[in-house]
Amino acid sequence: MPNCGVERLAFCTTASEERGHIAVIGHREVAGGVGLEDRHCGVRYVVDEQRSSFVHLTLRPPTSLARRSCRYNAALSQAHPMFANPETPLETLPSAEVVNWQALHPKFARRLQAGRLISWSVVAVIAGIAHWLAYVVPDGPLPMSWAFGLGWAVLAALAGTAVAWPIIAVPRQGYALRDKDILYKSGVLWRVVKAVPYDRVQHAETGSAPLDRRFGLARLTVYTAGGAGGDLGIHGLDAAAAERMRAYIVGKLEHRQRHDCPRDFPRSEPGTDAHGEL
Amino acid sequence: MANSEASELVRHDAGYGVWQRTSPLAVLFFFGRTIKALTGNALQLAGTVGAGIVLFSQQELATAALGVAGVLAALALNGVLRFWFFRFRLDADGVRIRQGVLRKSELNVQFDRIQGIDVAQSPIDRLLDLATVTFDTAGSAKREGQLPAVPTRLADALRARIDGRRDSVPAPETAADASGQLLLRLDGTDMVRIGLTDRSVLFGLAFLPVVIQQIYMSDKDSVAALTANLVDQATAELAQSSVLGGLLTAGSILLGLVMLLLAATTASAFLRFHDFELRRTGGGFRSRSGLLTRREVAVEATKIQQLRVRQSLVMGWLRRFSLQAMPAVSGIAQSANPNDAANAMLKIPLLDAAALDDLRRRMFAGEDGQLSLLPTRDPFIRVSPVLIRARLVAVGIVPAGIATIALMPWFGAVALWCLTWIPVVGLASWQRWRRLGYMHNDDGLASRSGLLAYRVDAFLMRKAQAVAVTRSPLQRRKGLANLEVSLASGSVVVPYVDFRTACRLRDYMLYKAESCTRPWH
Repeated sequence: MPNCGVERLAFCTTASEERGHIAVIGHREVAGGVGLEDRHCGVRYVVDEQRSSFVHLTLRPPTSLARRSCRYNAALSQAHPMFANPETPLETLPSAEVVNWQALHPKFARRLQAGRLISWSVVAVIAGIAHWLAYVVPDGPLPMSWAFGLGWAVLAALAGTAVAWPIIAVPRQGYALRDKDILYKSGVLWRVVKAVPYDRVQHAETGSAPLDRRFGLARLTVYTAGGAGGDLGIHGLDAAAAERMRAYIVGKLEHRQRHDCPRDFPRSEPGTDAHGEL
Repeated sequence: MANSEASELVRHDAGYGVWQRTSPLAVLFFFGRTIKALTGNALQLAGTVGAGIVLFSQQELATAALGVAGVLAALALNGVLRFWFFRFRLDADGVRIRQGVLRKSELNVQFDRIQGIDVAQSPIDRLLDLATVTFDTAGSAKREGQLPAVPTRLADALRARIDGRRDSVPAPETAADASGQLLLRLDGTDMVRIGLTDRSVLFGLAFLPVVIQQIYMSDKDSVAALTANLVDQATAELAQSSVLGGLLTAGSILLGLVMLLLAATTASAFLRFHDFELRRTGGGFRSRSGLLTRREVAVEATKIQQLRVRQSLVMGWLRRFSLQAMPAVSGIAQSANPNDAANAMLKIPLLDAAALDDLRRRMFAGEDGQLSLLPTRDPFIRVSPVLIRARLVAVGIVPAGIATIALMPWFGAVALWCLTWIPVVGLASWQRWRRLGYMHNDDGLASRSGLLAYRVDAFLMRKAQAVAVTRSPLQRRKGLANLEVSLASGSVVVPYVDFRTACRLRDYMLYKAESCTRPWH
């Protein structure tokens, strides 16, 4: 049994949650794991690759740390494909702030304004009828002219704000399709940046109201499990682009299902990305 | 095929692969369900019944009785018909349920989609060795999959099938001894503790003065006044002898009321949680409790999305917690009846810190590192105190100001009393801020909140469904943000954290969710 230069080895298995450590002078690959030999008693342990969740090594000084650990890691990674656990530097994680935001369709603001104009004119018509009734109906409550003026002013202010709002709001909305998730930002006062990983998408749909179709627009909705809080809706996409995006997301889903692995068994093979290539 | 072998294994055990009826006792179940659905609209029903009574009270009492009997008979017939047309069939990969008298429906529940199973046994069920099985499936719009009054053996086999599906070979012979490892058991003293910590006790105590005042102020003819009269007499007699005696009487009455309240909540605790047992089974956890109706809830460990720890004020004094293992939101959780939702979730009503830590480790399968769920532990990071200001302005100053100005023309200076709302909100916001906090490590995140009580929501980052960072105008000025994590079980919000921290947490969480190869459910 070759001397691996490892002085102490701590192991933990998920099944039994036993912890322990042994002093090791040698190791040998055996079927289904790594065989280890204790320095003191000469007892052999087999670290089962299926059951051990992590192995902690203490290297004996004065061996060259880098060389020894390389050798041992190599030995372990042969028997433990799941052991490879490169550290991820947090600073290099892709940020969801610095992305190339895609703007919504330029006609979207116009479409929103049209919709609001229609609904507010309905409100105005109803208010007008009420105003007219107040004068026409005999023995009704005495109309106060200043109250009506105030009412109309408030109504006009609200309608004006609502109709003008999309001009400010739409340029602040945007989306980004990344390799592994979809991002959406919105909000003028309360700003939201939301991210949904493709892995979590249950299904995606596109839809368009009559007014949307008139402007050649569509809405893309991405549904996740759980309540509505995790769903993501992007309104104001070009109809063709929305359809393309839906196909893209669904393609990702199908890819995931094809490459789905049995439960509780990581499928990371050495050398490939943990996601599999997408 | 492993599947066909599996079905072969269980076929002769519990009647797999054939359409079968439930026990005729299911008639009672359907009858009860219709009654429940009717009493759901109790107000309208009460109106109708009241009108009926007024109409028939004088002359046609017999007709009224006949009418009631007729309605009951119709309901019973409905139950019988529903039972008659209810068939189910167990297959290798799921359960199929056909029901409906006129409008037929067939439901296909896949074992793979079941995230929990709930077995309830009423006393009658227990006599006849029957059980009602409810499947909890993810993502359905309404309560589905319910098998009323089926043999216990079948319920056990189903549970074993769901427990053992990951090995793809269900072992019906282990169903009998699939009791698993005992993790927790609650005894009589714990029931008293649950009764003590019941929220209604606190409410009751808070309303006690009002109740007493009501009793004394109420009309002498009313029933409440009857007791008050007795009390008055007793007090008067004693007050004649001494003031101390009067005080003693008042005190003992108060004590009696409190004891009565406690007895009621303790009895309710006994009803729900008597002989509570939590066991670790093959792939999940199973709890069993109840005095009359024994209810058994099983969830699969991998389906648990979120753990929720609660500690009310009284629980804090007793150093106890309650724990809820939340699976993905399902029909039951969203159903109109909150009792159903509470029953379907695995809930441990009372446990101490050590047991909590142990359960947390088991339920997260050691994936969370050392995420402590104890709300009073230090590692919780406080959120920004700007939150107090924002709440004070939004909930306190603005509404109080508007109310004062609006009421001024009518009530004059009295309207200034509205301003006392502001310090109340200020205190509440401060207290809420003191409760707020979050904590995370490489794999999990825990968020703490509450006003008087504590609530801790913990989850594994890899199970996040969507992550959002939200900023209000004030937050943008102060460099803060809300972090909102949508989970399959609901959402967890960490408010008023540093913007950079929120972004980093979001990016890390996305990385965790996207690089993880294990399924989230």
